[in-house]
Amino acid sequence: MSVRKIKLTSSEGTEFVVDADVANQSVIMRNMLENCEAHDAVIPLPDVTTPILAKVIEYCTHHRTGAPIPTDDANSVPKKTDNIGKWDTEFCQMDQETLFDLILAADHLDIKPLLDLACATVANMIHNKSPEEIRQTFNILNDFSLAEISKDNERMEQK
Amino acid sequence: MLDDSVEQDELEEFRRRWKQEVEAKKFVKNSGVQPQLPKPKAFRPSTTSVLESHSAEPDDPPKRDRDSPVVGQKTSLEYYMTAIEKEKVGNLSEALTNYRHAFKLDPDADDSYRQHWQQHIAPHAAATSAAVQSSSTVKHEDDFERHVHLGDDYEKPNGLAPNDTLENLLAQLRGMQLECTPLKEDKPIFIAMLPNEVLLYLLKHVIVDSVASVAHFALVCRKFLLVSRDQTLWRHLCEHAYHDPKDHEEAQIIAALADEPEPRRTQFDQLRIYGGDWRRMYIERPRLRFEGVYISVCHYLRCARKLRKFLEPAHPSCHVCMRSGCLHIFVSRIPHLPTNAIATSYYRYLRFYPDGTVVKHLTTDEPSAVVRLLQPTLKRKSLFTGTYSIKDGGVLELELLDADRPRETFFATMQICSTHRGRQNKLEWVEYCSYNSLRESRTVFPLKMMKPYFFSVVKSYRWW
Repeated sequence: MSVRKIKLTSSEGTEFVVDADVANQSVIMRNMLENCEAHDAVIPLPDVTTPILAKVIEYCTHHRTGAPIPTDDANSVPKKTDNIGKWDTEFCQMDQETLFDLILAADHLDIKPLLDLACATVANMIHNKSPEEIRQTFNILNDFSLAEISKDNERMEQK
Repeated sequence: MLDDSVEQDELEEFRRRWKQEVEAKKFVKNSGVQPQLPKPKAFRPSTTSVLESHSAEPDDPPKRDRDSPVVGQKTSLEYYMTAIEKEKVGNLSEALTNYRHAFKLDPDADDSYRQHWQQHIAPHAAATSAAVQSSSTVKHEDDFERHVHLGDDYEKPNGLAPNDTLENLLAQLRGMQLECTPLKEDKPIFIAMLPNEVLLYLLKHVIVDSVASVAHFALVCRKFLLVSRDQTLWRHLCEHAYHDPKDHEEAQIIAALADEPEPRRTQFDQLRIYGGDWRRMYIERPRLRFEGVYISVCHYLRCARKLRKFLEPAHPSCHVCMRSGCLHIFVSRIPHLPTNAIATSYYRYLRFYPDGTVVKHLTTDEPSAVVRLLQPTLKRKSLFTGTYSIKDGGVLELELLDADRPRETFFATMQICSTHRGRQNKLEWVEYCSYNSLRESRTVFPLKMMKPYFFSVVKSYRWW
């Protein structure tokens, strides 16, 4: 029996052809494919750009195991930030924009392992940093008014 | 024997002299704060007494009070307005001083200001990096900082539990549509692309790693503050931090059979005690900390003559460190004493794991050398492994075994306490005994030489 081929189209219309077990890592796509009887299915993904889709496919292709993916449980343990494999670490070497786009895509397509990996990478960027360092990393302005900061400081001291 | 008592006498004399010095200093400081500010509009008498008790702080606040009578009496409102003026001009350090004066006199100075000047809205000044300290030194994972306990234990305030200090601010923020403002105008903020649910999912990763990081995250901007207070985040943390380890396996089985997992039922029962607030539960409910070690240290003086052959004169100079409440001797020799007295320290380490196991070690080795290696598999003398459980009221019970003494089981009962430095930081001894299975006898150890354990973070520990 030949492996089912799935055609994915990005927002710009670029087509990617992948095997079913690669696409099945996305719960959204798996549900769509189960309902669709045709051997060659086409899934349009207008919310995912070409470079991000390429990254997602790269991840899913590397992690294809054929084992069933467990259904998402909102309270399940996020991936341990320290247990990231070598391939995964190298995969996550990318600029912030791509990384966050990847998080959004993984959330949109419901690929929990990829979401966990990307979030763990960002968590490492936040971990052990002071507020000012976090601001510098993510380019955020401190919008607390000076009054609010000193009020808080005063209360903290009086405690 | 005579030598020992002489040493003790001299040490006592030393202690007495030092105490006198400290008392003298305290008196000077207190008398300096005496000139009370005459009653301005919303003067709260409690604030000055709070200042006096804050002896550990640097002299900054009391000094200012001494200086201000020269300026003339000012109401908190006037301070607040001055602060705003200074802020507008860009003189932030003066502004901050004035704000602090205003808040010292009236903790709700900003509300008072708002009421008086309804047409003026407090300016949203961009706090420059001068107002915020940034520590960009990279801390190596192997670095270890041991925290020594100073001062009194944490005393829970009477009556109702303290409210979140930022409650007013949070109430305000909840009604607002918040966005992040970029630091550099031309560059976008990528993290702001994430919807709040995804941001929360991200924070779940961060909080399990380090709760302090989430606290820092909350200080970045208003939007992040609001997001970090979301209950689902703290619930997630609580479910990780609190286990009933002994029933863990049973709970798994029960969970598999029933719809409602046992641990969650217990969690909700506990939650009711804390007013349904997961964050409050995490802060107040006794728990063990897994991201470091609890260390108990014991110092004492020993006569060198007996130990001379084992010791080298590594530190010939005397370095005695005085901190409020405790006299620390950090040396090997004290030259001015007639016989060579050596200050020895030995440490007891306790490391807990979420699965209900615990490691205990007794050694003279310093923390920085030991903490890295502290694991159940470590092969050393005086290393105990065992299990623990937490009972109501923060009572901790340990059951330990020493590989070198298989017939003895050690039972320790301790109380989890909090200190000024942080919560669930301290373990106090309640009882320590052992049971010998061969002789069927129980021995209770005296607690005289047992000092409480204090918690220190170890960055390299990964506990989840």
